[in-house]
Amino acid sequence: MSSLSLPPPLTWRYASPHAFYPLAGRIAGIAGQLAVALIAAGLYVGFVVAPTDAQQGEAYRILYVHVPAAWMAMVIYLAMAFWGGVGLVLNARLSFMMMQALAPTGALHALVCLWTGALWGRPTWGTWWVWDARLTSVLILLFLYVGFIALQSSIDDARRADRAGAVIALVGAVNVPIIYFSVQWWNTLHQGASISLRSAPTLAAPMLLGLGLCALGFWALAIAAVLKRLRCIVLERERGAEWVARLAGVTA
Amino acid sequence: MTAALWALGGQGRYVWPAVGVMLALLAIEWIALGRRHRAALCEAALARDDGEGGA
Repeated sequence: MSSLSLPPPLTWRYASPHAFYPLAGRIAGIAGQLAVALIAAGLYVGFVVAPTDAQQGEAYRILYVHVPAAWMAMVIYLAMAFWGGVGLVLNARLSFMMMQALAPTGALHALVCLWTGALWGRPTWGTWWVWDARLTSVLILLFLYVGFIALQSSIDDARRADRAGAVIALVGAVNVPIIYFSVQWWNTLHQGASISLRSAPTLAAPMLLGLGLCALGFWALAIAAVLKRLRCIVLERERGAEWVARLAGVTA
Repeated sequence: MTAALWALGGQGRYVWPAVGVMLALLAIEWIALGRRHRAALCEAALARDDGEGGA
């Protein structure tokens, strides 16, 4: 009796590091170019086209880097938790590698968010830092990222490091809704959301356009950086595999 | 864009370090990833050569 052989679904085919490695390279290249174009256009609209804010003056222009960085810091953590959960359930190597690749980019965005927030806070609130709910919860997010990276690097056995990291990622995901809703749940110095799914944006059209372009650019940049790091992790972890040896023979 | 954004004593002194540090960090990350990728490929090539030498 002849066995029925069907090609594996696309998702299963690319679950193998070997198959995903070249695809990640192609996506990273396109996303990187897209990111440069979108961020350049966004900063141009934000700094040249958009008008000065009536209340905050020129300092509001920090928004074009602060807000996308804050969004990406939260989204990347949720993505980390997602891939950690998938890795724990399916015991898939590539999921854990993706989780590991996301962490440094997420930490970088959290750091940029805090740094730009401090520079925005000084001229508008009169202080670099306050221990209000929004700022403190974002600082905790940065610590979660740093803790995840430290934990992963401190355990030699990659499989144990992956499982421990996935637990941190899943537990720490509780902090993301706390960050998002902190300005509603508590009385904070940080302003509420200017853009919401439930109401019309309170920003002028050119400001919204600049912010949208920068946000898309940050998305593309994060995708490019994460996939580029994923390729490094795949090579480092699969060093003994025949396909890596062949690849190294061709490119080294 | 107004002169206040460019003036050293104006609000530009808060805006430019924000944008500059962000761009610098992203550039450093990108360059570091390129170096790490090349290093990973070189290590894989060394591992392959060691394997061939030992065989």
